[in-house]
Amino acid sequence: MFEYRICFVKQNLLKYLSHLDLMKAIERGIRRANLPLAFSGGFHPHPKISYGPALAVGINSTDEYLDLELSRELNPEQILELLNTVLPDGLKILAVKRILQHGKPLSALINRASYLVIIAAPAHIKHEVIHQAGQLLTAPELNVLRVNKDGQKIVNIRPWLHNLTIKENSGDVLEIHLTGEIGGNGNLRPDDIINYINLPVRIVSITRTGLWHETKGMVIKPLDICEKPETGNHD
Amino acid sequence: MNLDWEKIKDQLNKVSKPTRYIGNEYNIQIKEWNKHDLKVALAFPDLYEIGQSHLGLRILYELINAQPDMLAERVFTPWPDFQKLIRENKVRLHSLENKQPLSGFEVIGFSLQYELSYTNILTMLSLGGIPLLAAERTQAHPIVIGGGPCTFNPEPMADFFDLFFIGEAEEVLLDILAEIKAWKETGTEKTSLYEKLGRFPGVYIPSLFQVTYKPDSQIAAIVPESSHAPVRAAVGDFEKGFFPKQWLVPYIDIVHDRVAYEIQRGCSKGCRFCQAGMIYRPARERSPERIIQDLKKLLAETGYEELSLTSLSSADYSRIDNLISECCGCFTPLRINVSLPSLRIDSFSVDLAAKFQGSHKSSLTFAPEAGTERLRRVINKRVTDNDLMNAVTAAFQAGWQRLKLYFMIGLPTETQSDLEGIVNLAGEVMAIGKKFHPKTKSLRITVSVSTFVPKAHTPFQWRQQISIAETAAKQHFLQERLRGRHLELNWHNPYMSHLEGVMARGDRRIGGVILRAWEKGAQFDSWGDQFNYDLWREAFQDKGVDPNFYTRERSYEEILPWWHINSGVSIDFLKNEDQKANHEQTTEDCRDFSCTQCGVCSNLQVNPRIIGGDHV
Repeated sequence: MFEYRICFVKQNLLKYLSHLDLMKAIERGIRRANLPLAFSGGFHPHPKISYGPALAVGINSTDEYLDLELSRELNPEQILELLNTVLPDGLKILAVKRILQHGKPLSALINRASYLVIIAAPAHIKHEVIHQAGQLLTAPELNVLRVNKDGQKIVNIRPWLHNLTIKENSGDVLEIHLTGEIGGNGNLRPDDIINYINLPVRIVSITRTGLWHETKGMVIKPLDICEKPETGNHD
Repeated sequence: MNLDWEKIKDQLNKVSKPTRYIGNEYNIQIKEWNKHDLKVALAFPDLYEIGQSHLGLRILYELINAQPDMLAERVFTPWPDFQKLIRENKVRLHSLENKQPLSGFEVIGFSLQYELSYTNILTMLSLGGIPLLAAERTQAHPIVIGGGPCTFNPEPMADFFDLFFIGEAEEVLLDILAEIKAWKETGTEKTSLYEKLGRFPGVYIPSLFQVTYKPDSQIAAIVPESSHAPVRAAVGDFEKGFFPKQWLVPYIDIVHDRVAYEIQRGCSKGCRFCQAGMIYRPARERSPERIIQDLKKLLAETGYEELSLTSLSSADYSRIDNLISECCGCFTPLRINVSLPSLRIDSFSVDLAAKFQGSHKSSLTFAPEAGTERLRRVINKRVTDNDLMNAVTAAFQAGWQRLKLYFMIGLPTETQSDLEGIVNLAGEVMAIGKKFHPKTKSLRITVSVSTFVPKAHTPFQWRQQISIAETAAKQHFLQERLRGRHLELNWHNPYMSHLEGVMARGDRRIGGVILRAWEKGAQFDSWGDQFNYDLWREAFQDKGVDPNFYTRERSYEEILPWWHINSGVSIDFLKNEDQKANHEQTTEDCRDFSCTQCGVCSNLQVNPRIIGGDHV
């Protein structure tokens, strides 16, 4: 079998696709491109495609990942071209690399994410917004209320926020760049951070700008791992 | 891009399932807005997931968009949360393609698929900035057209529509749209358009008919103002008939999320309750060669992982066995699932299902419709208990563990023993299931019971519909007796069936009730969580209309609200079938035996097309 790691963009109106919608759109795209998709065995064979951490509905991304298994070897550039001609506007493949040695699945591998949040803040509160945002990094705790099926609980999201910078743009626009934890050890949500700013700001857009694997102080892009497998992880 | 859309396009996080509203699907057809002279909104009065599953919409969408001087765009009823969003932002309901408000189109074509979607039509007109009543609209407004099965009695909606198109549109629609385009350029009043359109088959202009009533509320007369009598349109050459090539691929999980290929149109089995079986006659099959050729292209083009061979009764298609074998040969290796929407009650159908479901056996559905052979003869469902047991045995033997059985309650001449028949059949099916699958926990028999609603242009159009109280009592009887670990019973909301029945055989006075109920907040009436019968009860009271007047038995002498609409099936045939029902006499299928004199072929100048033979 031949495995490939694919980096893609999900943006414009397709930011509203749920993870499930996205999976279907990708699978149908692969079928339209006539790629020799590999399937699992058993009573309910499913295509061997696996994804990185799901993106919340309404968030753009310029750096998403999926791993794909084909039954025949194709050249990565060819895969990129074939897919881009049949994907709908808003989904675009940026890069394809052959996975030469098996490593962790994307969902376990990726543990760092960065976001760009564009907010609109009226001129008279702009400086206060910048001030409050700056203080988030020095706060010892940032507690937010999380509501789910089982009820609600207070979660301290401070350990998940690694970095925050804020930039003033023209007009009433501010850019907030966030970096933080994603995956099994915690999940930084950009809207949680913005909601912490106790002022009438409006979120214009949120974009996931990067996903990484961090290990022992090293930060590596998922595409760079396909060819340099972690030692001791040979299957 | 439209400025209104700009206002809301980044706020869709506020609504559930925003993918319903974005458009942008693969194979969407977006033509340049200002360069086309006739712009048609194809409006489906329900959610995207329902409307986008409808084949008729896909056919008309591509047919119109293939014209150089026309365009067609889709619009569905938004869920209340999106309605709130556009109201708050003062944005009008708009199409998915160019995001243009409904009021900017020359024509709005609504699909009338079921009566309980009528209030959604008013919601859409209102959100689109269009006056609800046809009489309030001038030549500057869009022409509002209704199509679909409900147009065989469109009288309850007559006040809201400029015209209805009755029957199959593929062969005449473009000529009608061309007339509308020519008329738009003249800038004259709608009456001059009506004169031209009245000549086309299928066209019914309700404002050109005056309905008067007798003191007892029955119709005194339906008087046409011109000589044009509405006659159903039928596709003469179904083999070459238009079928979509650029099948649109939605993102969201729609109800029928697959390539659905229409292998035949019409069904001549002659079930006496079934409107579709009367209004889509005669049966016309497409050749297996065309079906396979089209399917290969459609599946390569869409990337879909499932296809369905659809029709009213696919197992009756002459070469269904060969067709399924060929489909499985072409598509199973590509991991594309093949399915049939309906099965006959025989072991042949079970064998077919075994062919395409292979090792993955989900569930099989059979529709005996009635609990006893006697009542099945009454409704002309020519299936014996033995046929059912043979089919069920074949299914369990082949490995299926989940079966669904469809029945109706309130059928003409039904007695307590017919209800007991449902209980007994379910019990027998369960016993066979346990025999083949004694240890399994996943054995499941689902019994679905709907309430019989008499429909226009069927042999049972004169019959009484059972009341809400009777429906509830019959359902209660079944609920008490159909219980058990492996048994599931589903039934329909009796209030919904009652309302459906009032509209199905209603006259123009129901239009006022629909408007009143809608003003009180009724919409999405076919959705259990949105339906509120209290609003309807009040609306009937406000308008002084007794709903039971419309569900009562009618005499052969009475002028029925749809009397002026010619479906092609003769009244004498319908009466004769209705009388044969009383004598428990069946009528064969003209496909297998001789002509049953229903009148369709001679009245509409069409012929059945049965390919026959069993080799491809």
